[in-house]
Amino acid sequence: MSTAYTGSGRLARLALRRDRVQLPVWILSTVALGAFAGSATDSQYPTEADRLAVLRVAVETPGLLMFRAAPTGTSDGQMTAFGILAFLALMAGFMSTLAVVRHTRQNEETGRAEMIGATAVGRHANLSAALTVVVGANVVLAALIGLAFTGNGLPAAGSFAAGAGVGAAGIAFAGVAAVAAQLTQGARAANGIAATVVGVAYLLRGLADVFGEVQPDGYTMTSAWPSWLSPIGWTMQMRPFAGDRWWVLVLPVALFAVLTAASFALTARRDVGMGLLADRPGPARASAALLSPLGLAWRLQRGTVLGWTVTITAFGLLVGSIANAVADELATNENVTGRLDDLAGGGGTR
Amino acid sequence: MTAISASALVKTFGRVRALDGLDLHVDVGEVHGFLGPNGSGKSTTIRVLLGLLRADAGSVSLLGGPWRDAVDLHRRLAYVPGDVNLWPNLTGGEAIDLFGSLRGGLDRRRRDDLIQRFQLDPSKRARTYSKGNRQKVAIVAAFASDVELYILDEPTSGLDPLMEAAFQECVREVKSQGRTVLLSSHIFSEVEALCDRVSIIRQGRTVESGTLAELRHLTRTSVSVDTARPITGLAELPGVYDAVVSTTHATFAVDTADLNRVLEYLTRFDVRALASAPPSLEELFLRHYGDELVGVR
Repeated sequence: MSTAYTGSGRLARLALRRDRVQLPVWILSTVALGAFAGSATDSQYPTEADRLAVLRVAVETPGLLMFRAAPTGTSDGQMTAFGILAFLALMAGFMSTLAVVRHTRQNEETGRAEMIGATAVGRHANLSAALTVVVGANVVLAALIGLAFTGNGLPAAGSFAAGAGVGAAGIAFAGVAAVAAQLTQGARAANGIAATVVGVAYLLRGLADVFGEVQPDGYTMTSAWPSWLSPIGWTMQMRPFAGDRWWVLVLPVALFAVLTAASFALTARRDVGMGLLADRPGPARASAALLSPLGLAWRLQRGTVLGWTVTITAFGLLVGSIANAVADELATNENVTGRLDDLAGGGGTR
Repeated sequence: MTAISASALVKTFGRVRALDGLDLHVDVGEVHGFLGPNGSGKSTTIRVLLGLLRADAGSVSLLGGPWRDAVDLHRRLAYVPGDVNLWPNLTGGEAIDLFGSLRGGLDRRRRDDLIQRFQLDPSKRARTYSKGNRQKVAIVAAFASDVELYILDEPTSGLDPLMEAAFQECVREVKSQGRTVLLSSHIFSEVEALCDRVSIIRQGRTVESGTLAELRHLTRTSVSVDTARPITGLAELPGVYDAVVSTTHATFAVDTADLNRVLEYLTRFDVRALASAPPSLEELFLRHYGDELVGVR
């Protein structure tokens, strides 16, 4: 029987063939980052007192909360979640959006979708193949994070909750990218839209933690409500190793379902190769500024240069705001000062 | 029997009217040339036929039916675009097999034979292929499939003359098997060599459709003549154009409908030698578009 999904399986295998290096690298490096960050917790903060000290500083330091997350406690698992989980969800987000756009809009932009569309595949096969592969990649990522954390000696339930939280965020962002791929005619613009949503989700989660409420114990926090608006916030709201609220998974799965349904509906309503947003026409003549080597270089690079300038400036501001807090914290952390003394050949750090 | 029947197709992109009531009719077993200048709507028409674009108005019927589901129809046709883009890290051979499998299987012996004929190295990665080699991948994938209809959109762009000959041979083979070919092309010699009938389109409309002989009848024949006595009064005859007369030698173009009368007139001057050439497809084409180039004549 032929349906709009006929050929999805073959196209999914094609996507896996194309990505046989790319996706494993994304997944393994994300898992490795999580595993190393987890095992580093022990050596960075060996004692309960070290952990309390760092968390007490963190809850008062916006920059740290942006890059880490609202702390939930001082156990190994809770410290790991505090340290790296939001970042893993961010990576899962970028992996997913890039992969979805690569297997949908990029095919359309290059005309490959047209050649595929002229064969015996259904209208929805391309998108369903892309989503199948990316959801699969996130499930593998979730399982491997669970295994890696368990391997670090963390409780299994919390480890797999953490993995599921990261994978679910990736799946939600796959839905975002599926819609973005319907909007623009170019893959670059679709990637830009999807990556912006991932970045805003991370920022929203960070702000919600910054404006969160410090608990009476002085080192754990409850995030402010905007955390519930962000798929990366949902990862943290699952509270791995601190209650493992599995029901929160309903949110990313529901978002994915809604966005996927929307993107299929949009695919059915538009022509192959076209976007819902029309490309803006550009100038018909070259401006005088363009007609020099420098002018050409600037014209070609200005988007990238401006984008990176804004990003790095924002990053610099955040890092700058943390620096003082970190310096204070280092001064009171015997473990770190001791190491630095060793590294400096006993010259002292103060 | 009709392979392709499209009538009164309209397709607009924003304010641009790409197709403006286009008609196209192709019989089963014929090779049909589809001619028109850049931007006249050839590729848009083909995309509508393939179901990739939805026409705003008009009707399309391919291989005996309006199709609710394009999948079953697409098993019975093969498409070659004018600008083939492949997956950079797949080899040409992988891409050929992929298209074959997506189309529902291809003939392995024929695939290998075609790869030989087109001198394609199927083990090279697509990112290293030139434009012509990427076209060859799509051409081999199309002709290795057992389908009833081939829709070819400027398929030989970027091919060298040897490969062009190999392509023409492929088209003749599938034609001899009773299959149908729609060939959109800019190469007049290719269309003249292969096509039974031709449709010429312009600004999204069909302006001329018929066999080459029929189309020639609508236009002028060039004549060159030598006579014993000096020629007079030739340029004043109705239906004669561009006459250049130097006493006993003349060259001119004549409306094919007036040819007989003009030849009778020439016999008065005692014809010694006469050469006539039917209008080439290129001349036909330029006549249809010439006014765009040099203003209305």
